[in-house]
Amino acid sequence: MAGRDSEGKRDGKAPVGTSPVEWAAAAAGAVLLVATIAYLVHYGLTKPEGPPVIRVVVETVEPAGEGYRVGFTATNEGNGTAAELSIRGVLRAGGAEIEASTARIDFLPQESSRSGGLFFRRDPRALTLDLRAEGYVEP
Amino acid sequence: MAASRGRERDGGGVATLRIPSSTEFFVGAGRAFAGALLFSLPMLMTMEFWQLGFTIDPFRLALLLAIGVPLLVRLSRYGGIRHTVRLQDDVADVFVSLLIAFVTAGLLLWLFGEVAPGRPLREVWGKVAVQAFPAAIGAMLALNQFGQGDTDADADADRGEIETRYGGELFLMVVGALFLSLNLAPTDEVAVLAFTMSVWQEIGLLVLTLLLMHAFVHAVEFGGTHRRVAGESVLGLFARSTLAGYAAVFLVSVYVLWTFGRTDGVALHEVISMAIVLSFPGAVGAAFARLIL
Repeated sequence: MAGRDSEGKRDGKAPVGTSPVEWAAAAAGAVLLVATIAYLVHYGLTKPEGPPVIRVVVETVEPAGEGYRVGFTATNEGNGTAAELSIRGVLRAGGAEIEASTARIDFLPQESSRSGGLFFRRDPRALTLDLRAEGYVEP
Repeated sequence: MAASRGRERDGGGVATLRIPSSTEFFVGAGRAFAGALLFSLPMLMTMEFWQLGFTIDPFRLALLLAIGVPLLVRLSRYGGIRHTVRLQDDVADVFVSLLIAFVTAGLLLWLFGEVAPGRPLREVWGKVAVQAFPAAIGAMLALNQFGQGDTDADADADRGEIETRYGGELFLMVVGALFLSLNLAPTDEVAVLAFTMSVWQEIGLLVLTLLLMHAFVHAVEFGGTHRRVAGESVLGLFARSTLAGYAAVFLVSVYVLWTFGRTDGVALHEVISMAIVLSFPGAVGAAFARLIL
């Protein structure tokens, strides 16, 4: 019994104080928590929730399989997340729509970028390529 | 009380408590890490939590973290990284738990590729911060789950003293409910269930929740803490303990749903439906809180 008791004490059953190492770790935790709360409140105050603003940029156009792949990067410059964002690319010749492809991005958070690709049968370099964000829903 | 006085004498009085060695601290921190991992893994591996990192209202997340501190300080008396009797030691334990929670969540999310350099700060910090509070609860429970010393009657008597108070009982229920609701509230399943269940099914779930809560706490005597005040009827006990407990669980459910933005733009009756659905796991968590804690 006595043996078990002293073991129990070593194990932290008996109340103990706080060592300098623990105080240092506690201080680090406190700083982290306060910084997190401050950051969140600051973010909420300076960047109130707004609509997403999507910019789509064509990165690459290259042959892929039987057709061509247009690599793009969509960037959300607004202050709201876009969910189920669809990116639509249209190939035109003299105003007439020849071919269209759509890609969907599940979530595009504020200030974030996501990349993807659209496939076409015809060579987009020989035609006019029109790439834009088509629509989204709020998450 | 005699037990705790005895222990204070062993340690040389409250003012001069034994200062644990660095090794002891790291052993405790290791346990806390294990606890944080065990309790936050279901959340770390759920997609909805990653999305919450950037979709959650920053004010509501900040509020959750701020409310978390006093709650964890109180919880430290029941669990914690080590056995504490002074408030300042509880506070130290809480902030160490939070540090471990942040590190655990950050490390795993980084390994999973969910946070990475180059991602916006808001997304990275948000994803980690959403996990911090539940993971810190896990870290606080480490002593009870993995420690060996606390199972004997001596320590239990000490804790039982706090536990027997009505307020303490409700507090433990709230923590238990909070823990399970935090796990489940962000998932789409809660909303889907609320939308598809009929009113009668929901009433059935509510009745089942109440019966289970009463049975777990008082009839089956999990945790052995059931007690009826002399002369109190079963109905009185049901109202004092189970109904009050359910009300607390229900409010916790509504609060957690609101924190995660699940109530925004949703009709009142659907909010109530979601709260009933979420209160089911919440009530089970509340009933078992005494057993776990």
